[in-house]
Amino acid sequence: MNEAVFAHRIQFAFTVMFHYLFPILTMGLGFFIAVFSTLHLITEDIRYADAARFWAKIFAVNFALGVVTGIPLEFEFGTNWSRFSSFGGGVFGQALPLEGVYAFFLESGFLGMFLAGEKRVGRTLHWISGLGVAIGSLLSGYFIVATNAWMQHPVGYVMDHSGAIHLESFWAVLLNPYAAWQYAHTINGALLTAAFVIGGVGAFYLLSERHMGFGILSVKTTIVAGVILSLTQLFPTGDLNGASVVQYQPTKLAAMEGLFETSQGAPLAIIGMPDTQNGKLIDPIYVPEFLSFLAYGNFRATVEGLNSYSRDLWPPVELTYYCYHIMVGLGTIFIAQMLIGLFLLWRRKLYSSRWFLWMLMLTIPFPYIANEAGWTVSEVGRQPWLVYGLMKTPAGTSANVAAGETIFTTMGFAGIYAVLGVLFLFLVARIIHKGPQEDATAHG
Amino acid sequence: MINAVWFFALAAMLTAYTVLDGYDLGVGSLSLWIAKNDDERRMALNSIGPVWNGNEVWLIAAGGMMVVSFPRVYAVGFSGFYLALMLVLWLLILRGVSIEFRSQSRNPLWRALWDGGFWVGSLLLALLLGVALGNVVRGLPIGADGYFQGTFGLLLNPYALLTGILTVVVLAWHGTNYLRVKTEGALFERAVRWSRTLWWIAAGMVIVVTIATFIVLSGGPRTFHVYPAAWIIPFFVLAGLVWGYLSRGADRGTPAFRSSLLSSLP
Repeated sequence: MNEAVFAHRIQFAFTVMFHYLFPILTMGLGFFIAVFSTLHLITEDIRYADAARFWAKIFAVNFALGVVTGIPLEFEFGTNWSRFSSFGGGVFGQALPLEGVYAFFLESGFLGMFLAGEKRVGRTLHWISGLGVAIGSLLSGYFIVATNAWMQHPVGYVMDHSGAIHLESFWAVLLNPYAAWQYAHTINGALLTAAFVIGGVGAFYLLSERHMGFGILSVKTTIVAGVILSLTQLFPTGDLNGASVVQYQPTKLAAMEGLFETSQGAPLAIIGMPDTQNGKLIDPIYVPEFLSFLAYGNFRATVEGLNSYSRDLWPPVELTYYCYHIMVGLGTIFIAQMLIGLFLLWRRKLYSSRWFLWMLMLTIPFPYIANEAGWTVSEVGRQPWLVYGLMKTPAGTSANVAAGETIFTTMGFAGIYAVLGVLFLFLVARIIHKGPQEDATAHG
Repeated sequence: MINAVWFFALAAMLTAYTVLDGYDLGVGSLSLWIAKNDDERRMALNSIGPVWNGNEVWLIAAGGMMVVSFPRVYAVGFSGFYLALMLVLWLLILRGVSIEFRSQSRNPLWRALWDGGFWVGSLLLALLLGVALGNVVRGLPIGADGYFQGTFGLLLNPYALLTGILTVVVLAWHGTNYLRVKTEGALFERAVRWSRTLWWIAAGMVIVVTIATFIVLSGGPRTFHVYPAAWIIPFFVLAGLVWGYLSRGADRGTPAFRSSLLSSLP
């Protein structure tokens, strides 16, 4: 691959993957903070207010980092992917800036109000601002997913005789059929991550025998929410997101499943190592005919393998395959974890099962890995297309920006983000160490 | 016709960004000198604390709007001025992180670190904004394909550096007027005095840059001949400056702020 193209891809991939670590928690935690805030309003139980206030502190640090790492991405559409922006900007640009508008104007406005505290803004306004933050972040998530969905399945445009595209329907872009389940699956992933973070921190407190009340509330929230969320992550959101891939991106499906040969009654590979050179999986374990069933609901259906397509249309098989299997593998582990937790909760042993609490605490990073792996499948699996069926990736870069310039700025970002990452962990650790504070003056 | 609407919307957003984030940058550029102790620094930061994020959004919104309304300008502009834009991005990160991280710890070293970051980030951002403005006025070599044909060093030519300094001064003046409205005590007193001093420097720089503009664009900016309505821009500047002079009294904080806003609009 052309060195410059590779540099542009690495820069965008690195900056977007680092940035995304933060919106995952912003979208997920915002929801839970709104829930805690609402429960406090309804039940008057002060523990919910303490929980909302504690998580809001972590939310604030997380949100700030999401903002500063997110701005470069909007610029990068222009700086590193200028031909893509020039070609498609008039169409996908309908959705893209709305992410900024909702994320920032709505979220940051309400967040300022929420962090000011109940005693400064009053009960009702405080609760509304909590809702505003959650809704703002969920809304902004939709628009960025819609932008990506357009790249996966371009709609709402018309092409003229010179090959340029123009917007035909704003609503077609916004209501792209690909976007709906992609969004649901993404948001579910964010909520699931937040549940794990809440539970992991709660487990930490229970294991350290501090803030036991808060720990119990947190772990219970995680199990109750986590059972539902880990299951819905698989079905319906995962399954139906996959259905879009089956329908619109057959090469991505073949790559992520490691299916080289077109097969009737195609088997599902649970594990195995792709050997792209020889077109097979090494040491696979198969469930016979199951891929056909998952993809088409019929055990005898035919699934197209990679060999049905010319080599230059194959996405990078290994990366797509492994990231997909990492994501699904972790998702399965999450379901198992949550079901075990539910069982322990039912037997009233949850808060004293130290081995389970250890597991909850140590698996905090796993949902992050699953989320990023899933997005890697989505983006790498789309290759060689930048806009599926319309524009190949090397054709979308900024041809006037040399590889050397991009490598320089990527190193700059890497350095800055390494420092920011360390600072983030340091600040969050401090907040957790301090623990949830009972703010006696909050209800004065 | 629709293009004109988009253009004005874009111009309005960039203007909104300049006058709003302008005072954030102004406060930041002066922060190390105008606020002498931890309490005053905290007061200065708190004055912009709740609004700086929203103010910065206008820049993002303008960029996003450019993607959809003028995709080729966006593409050519952003990739053409690659290093300059990356520098702006990194400074935005530095400024934003400095504001948000400072209050997370009481450790004096921690606070000093982020005070420094806030100052450097704000000052350099204001300077680069002015440099960009100056280059737009002066004109830059653009090739047939629409891409910028120069180096990063060319962007820092003397005229652009002058407009950069002008911007730093005007935004600093704007920042002091904001502090006059939002703060009290010793910080307020200092803001009033500095506002007066900066007014003089700003007025002087306006004269210097005007002369420089006529030198650099031999015969003066053609825009004024083609669009006589453009005379409203220097009118705004002058009106803002005059009003600013009239608002130099200690109690005239709000009108002073409005005057510097008027001057920043062009």
